[in-house]
Parts: sequence; C-alpha cells; structure tokens
Amino acid sequence: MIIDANANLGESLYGPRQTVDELLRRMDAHGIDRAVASPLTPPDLDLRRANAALAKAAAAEDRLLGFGRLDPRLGARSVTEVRACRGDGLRGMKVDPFEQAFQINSDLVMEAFVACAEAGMPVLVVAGFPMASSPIQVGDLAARLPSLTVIMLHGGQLAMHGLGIMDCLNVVRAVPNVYVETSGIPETGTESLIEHIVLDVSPERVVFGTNAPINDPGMELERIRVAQVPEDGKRRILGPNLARILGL
Amino acid sequence: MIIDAHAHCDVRFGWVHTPEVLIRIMDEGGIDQACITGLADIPGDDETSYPRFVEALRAHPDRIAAGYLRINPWYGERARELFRRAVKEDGMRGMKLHPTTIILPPNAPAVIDFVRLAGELGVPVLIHSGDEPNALPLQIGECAAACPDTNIIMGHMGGVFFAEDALRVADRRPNVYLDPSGNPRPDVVRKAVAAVGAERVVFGTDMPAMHPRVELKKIQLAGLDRAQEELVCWRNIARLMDLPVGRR
Repeated sequence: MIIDANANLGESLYGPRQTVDELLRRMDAHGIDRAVASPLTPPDLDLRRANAALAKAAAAEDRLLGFGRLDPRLGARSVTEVRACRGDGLRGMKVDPFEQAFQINSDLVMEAFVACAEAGMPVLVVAGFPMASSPIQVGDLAARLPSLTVIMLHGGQLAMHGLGIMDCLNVVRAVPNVYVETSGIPETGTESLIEHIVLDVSPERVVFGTNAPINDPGMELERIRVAQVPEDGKRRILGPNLARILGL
Repeated sequence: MIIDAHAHCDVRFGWVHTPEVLIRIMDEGGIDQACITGLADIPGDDETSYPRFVEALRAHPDRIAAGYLRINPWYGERARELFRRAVKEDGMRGMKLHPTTIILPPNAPAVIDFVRLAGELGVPVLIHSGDEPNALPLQIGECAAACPDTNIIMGHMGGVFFAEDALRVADRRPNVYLDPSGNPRPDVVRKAVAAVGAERVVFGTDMPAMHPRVELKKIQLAGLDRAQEELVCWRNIARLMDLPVGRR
C-alpha cells in the first residue's frame, strides 16, 4: 500500500495545475494507491471555493484523502474556514508560508492552528523557506501546540545548502507531534536525512509524498528506494505511517 | 557513457567518502566517470586536505577523471600560488568555489580575481549556487560578465528557488554552464536545454549528498534526443575539463 502524503489539485496562480484524472493517472503509473490532495493557490485567490471543490472531488473518489488549503493569517475567518473544511469531510489542512506570507510560528497564525488541533486536523506545512518556515520554526510551532499533528513537507529542506538538516533531525527527536514528508529533499544520498530519522529516531516519523505535479512521483519514489534503511522502514514510510496519522 | 560533473570525494564532517566509496555509489547508479571536488576549502584548517585530494585523483584515473580544487580566496596570494601549482604540476583541471563555506558572494572582487585566474590557466570554475543570499545566480552572472574568458559551471542551477534566474544568467552569459545536480524540480533539465541548448548543460549528482539514481531520473524526464543526451551526460564536461575520453 503506497500513500502519497502530499499531492496538489487545481490550478495555481504560480503555474502548476493538475486535474483529478491527471493525478489518478500519475498514481496508476507509479503504483500509488491513495493520495492526500489539497488545492493549489487558485488564480482568483478564493481558497473557500477551492476547498469546497476539493471536498467534492475527494467525496467522489475513494483514493483521494482531501485536505483544505488554509490562509492562517485571518484570525476568526481562518477558524471558520477550518471548521467549514471539517464539515465538508476534509481530513486536514495545508499551509504555504511563502504563498500566503506569514511566519509559521508567529502569534498571528496561532488561533488558526489551535482550531486545526481542536478539529483533529493534521497540518501539512510547506517547510524550508528562510524566515518563514525553517525546520526550527516548524518545531517551535509544534512544541507550543502538542495536540496539533504537524507534517513538515520537504523535510524542511527547500534549499540546496543543507543548513537545515541538523535542525530537522533535532526537531523530530525533541517534538513528538512532528512528522517529516520526503518530497524534494535534496540530501538523499549517503547518510541522508531520511536515513538518520529512520535509524536514529524512529521509522514511524517519515511519510512519503510526491508534491505532484510540481515534483515527479517517479523521482520521489526513487528517493525512498535508494535509502539505506531496513525494508520494513521503507514499507512504513510509503504508507502505514500516514495511515496511522489519519486513522485510516 | 555518463560522466558526473559534480561529485565530492573527501573525509570530513563525519562523511567518509573515499574514492572506493564513491566508485561503489557510481556503480550503483551507472556512472562511468566522475569529476570530483573535496569538502574542505584550501588553504584551510586541515593541512592534509590537499595531498589527500591529489591522492584521490591518482588512485583510479579510469573512474575519477578530474578534479576541481576547492579554493579559499581569503588566503590571497598563498591560495593563488597553490592553485597555479595544482594546475601546472598536479594536473588539476578545475576550481571549485562554495560561497557558503568561503563566506563570500561570487561577485565579490576577491572571488572574481580567482575566477579570472582559472580562465588564465584554461580551466573551468564550478560555483555552488542556490538559496543562500551569497550564492545567487545573478551574482554568478556578474562574476561571469567580469570574467568572460573563464567557463563557469553553475552548480545546482540556482537551487530550489532560483532556476529562473539561472536560466536568465546563462542566456546572457555564454561562458555559463548549468549543472542541475540536487535540484529537486523534475523539469529543470528540459528547461535548461530549451533555454540555452544542450551544449551548455552538464549532468552532475553532488554525490554523496545526492544519489545518482535520483539525479539520473531528471535526465530521463527531460525527453532529450540521443545527441542532446550525449552532450549533457558527458561530452560537454569532457570538453570543459579536457578529459582523455573526450579526446579519443
């Protein structure tokens, strides 16, 4: 059972786009059974409409695990959006501190994340943006809200320099409600971040994701396949860990 | 034939990446030859770095084809003299500059002096680029404009966030070559070939930080024709580094 923890649907203001059919075809081509899907930031910036459309698509297709897209800057309006998404049957929320312009551990956005925790909705955080979502900032958010499940996308390594590797490992060690998603992690060679988390911390803290269509599912599966970890660790990364988080 | 234009071979920072380890990973990934650089800037804190690097270059010349000496410009004339001797006496075929470890941007006058020196000696310079504020493609562009007689390989092609700038710079500066190593985006090779032609794109892995099997996926996804693939995968770097395989 392979589950993608991070696929994108719809049309993005920034260019990428993917329909449900395109995603399902990509999943079939790579043997991916189910996928967490959330809306890309739409050109009209209307996240409510995008979330409603996503919820409808996820309700119609068992293989999709619908997540909403949250602008957490809006205080009470953000809280309302979280509850609306929960009501529509979505299972979690995704936030992008670059596209929506906020710092992940800022007091400004705390109310929205408290609402996610109360709704039992895990949060996918696009992580590794300097200033906005460095791994240590993501760790700070999660440490302050222990009841919130935080999935740090891209291993917090949206950068080519590797300067956030140590912080990511330290955060996973110290903050039990943080999980690390694997799409686009540059350091996937010898003694990689994935290997360190699995071998030094726990095989249960890493989840496979593709970030399709921005990243390529085949390339992302290869990152897991080349990891020097026991086969059972790879099996957990590819599906069971996320299934447990989402209570599937 | 596949030649990796960007591999690391050194024992430092807890990495034990000897020539033998490198060759094992090359075999796993189907890489025929590699051009290597160390992990320490020279001169620097480890006097054994230089002899170790020269030894690595001599150990398996059929697989480890050439080296870029990693230079620390802060050492001024001492570093210049060391680089001259390395090229003339020890067969060094390139220079590597890493803005993060030397704490200088590529357009700093001290760096430009060294890039010019490499051109005078007829060897290319591999410069790390990416997401640090002192490793930006536009800064490499200014360096390339100041050193029109030096071929510059832009490592990582601008990293996660600066691929667009990398393409702009390569379009403006005919002495700039693009190396997509480590770049997590699957479409960078295709975009680079479309923007500046296959003659100015060189395949690299950044081993041991990256795994060659993940990096080769990007080449497969680019949809190159056979002639383009040969240029990207080995002919360009063989010409830039004047490798024996290119002279056959």
